[in-house]
Amino acid sequence: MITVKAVLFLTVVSVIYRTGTSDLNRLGGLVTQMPWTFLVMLIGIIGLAGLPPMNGFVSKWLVYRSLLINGHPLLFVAAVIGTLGTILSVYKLIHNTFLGQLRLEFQQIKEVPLSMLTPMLVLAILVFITGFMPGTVLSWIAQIQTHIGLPAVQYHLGGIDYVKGGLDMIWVSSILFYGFAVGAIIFYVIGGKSKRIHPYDNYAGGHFLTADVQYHYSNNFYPGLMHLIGNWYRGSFKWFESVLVSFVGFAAKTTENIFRSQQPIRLLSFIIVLVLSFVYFSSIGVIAR
Amino acid sequence: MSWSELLAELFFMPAIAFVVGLFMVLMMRKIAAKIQRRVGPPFFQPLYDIVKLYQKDTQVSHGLWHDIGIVMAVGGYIGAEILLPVPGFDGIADKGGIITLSYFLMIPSLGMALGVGQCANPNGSIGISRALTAMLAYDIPFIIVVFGVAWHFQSTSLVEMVEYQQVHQWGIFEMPLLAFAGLFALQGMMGKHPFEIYVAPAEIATGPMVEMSGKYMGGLFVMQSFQFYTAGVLYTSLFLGGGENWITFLIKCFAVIAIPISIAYVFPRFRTEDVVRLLWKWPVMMGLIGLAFVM
Repeated sequence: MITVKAVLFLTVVSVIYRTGTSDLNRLGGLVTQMPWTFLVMLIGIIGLAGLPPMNGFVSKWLVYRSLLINGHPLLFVAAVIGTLGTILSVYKLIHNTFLGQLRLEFQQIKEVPLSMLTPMLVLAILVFITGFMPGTVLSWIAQIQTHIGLPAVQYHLGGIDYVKGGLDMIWVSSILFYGFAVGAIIFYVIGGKSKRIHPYDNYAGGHFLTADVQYHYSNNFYPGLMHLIGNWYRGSFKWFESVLVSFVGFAAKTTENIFRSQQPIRLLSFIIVLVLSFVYFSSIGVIAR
Repeated sequence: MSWSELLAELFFMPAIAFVVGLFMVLMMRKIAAKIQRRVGPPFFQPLYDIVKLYQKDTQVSHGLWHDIGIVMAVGGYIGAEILLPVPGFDGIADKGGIITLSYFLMIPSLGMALGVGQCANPNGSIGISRALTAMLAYDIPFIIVVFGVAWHFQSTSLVEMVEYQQVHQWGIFEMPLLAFAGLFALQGMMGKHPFEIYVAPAEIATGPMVEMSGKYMGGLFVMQSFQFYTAGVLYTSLFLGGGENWITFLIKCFAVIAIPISIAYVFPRFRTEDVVRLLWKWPVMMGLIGLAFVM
């Protein structure tokens, strides 16, 4: 899950780096300008939403299966609502950033430099590999489980062995890619030749489109749902969100101040305090080694 | 499992799914015609439609991801067909199970959403926004049903569920409330009236399909036949004892699909928030009561 978050964070930062804005309602259509960043973000959102073949799916599958077999229906439904809500929100992210109409002011921007692209791609490959072969990570989990005295998970390279319905991600991913291959054959070989057209050459109810017409649906992306559940989001929810936002902002500002203060003594003393506290906490066993 | 069996499964399961799905589409259009007092299309019309669409001269692409979106939409369903247990071919179905399958069914939606997004048409984006909201609505009763069924059979493997039902009793007799909630969710999952606000031809110009021409639309037609087949087989495996042989199996699948279609064509369409409200109220309630009986 951490790898997926890191992937999404890096792609979002790349977009901000190139466009200079983080306002989702002012972006759109960047897929033609930044195709690799789009691909990495796509892998990230597939992982975050927990769809096969990324690593998020394996962890979600394990959570769901144990909730299912141990009989926690309400927790199970809550977890699924979380998953579906994630799909809705990450689709809004990728749609408003990369899909839809490209604004005039972004038509000159290019892909991020290789130094930014390489870490993103490496992390994206990691997200895929740990999803394709979960055994690589499950071996660590099995070690942890035996260490703290729990029965270790029965894993193999492709997934988990259970008597009543296991998971083999190598099979699942291969079937998925086989399906995509057949789909591609149906699309590219059987179908005729398609013609690439300009984005303004679009259905506009009989009217025509020009560069100054904003033809992108992004603001208030799920109005039907929000009309229904928007009112639930008030009171303590709003308060908790503002607390969270101000706390994160404060922590970020503090770190930035220490990092950029250009006072070596302060930076050094901060690092020493950090290292000493780490040593202390690991010696009394709060941080497991 | 030998190589020849594997290759046979990989080839024949999607092929059978496609042919059966075409018959289901034909059945849908015949039922619609009977309800609306028309004659209805000829026998080969679903196939003619697809052939015609693939042969069109005008094939408009809005970019690479428009193409890949269609490939993902069709390919995701082809993958899902292989994971379904059908008579004679359930060697691979054991590798996934019901949780994997219900996630597989979200991949075509994601592919279509990406493809439509690249089209840069607000009608399409509005359609996708409504379709994803509808998915949030019908997946919650569906997942309650999945939980109840998996708890009842104490397994997440579809093959084991089918085996249990063939030895004991069909799921629909042991958990009728869950079966009814599942039928409700199936109506939403198939995107038929009254839950088809995301297509809404008169309001948002067919929504996701607004920029689809030629083989793009043909791909969506292929996807629709896969979708009908998947819905029918999944429901049959969960509640109607799967397939002993192909004849009874197909009769069950067609009967399952006929119910939502017969309901669909006598209804207008609900607004998005009404879809969510309806699907979160009655099928969820029935599903939870059914779950209480099962657990």
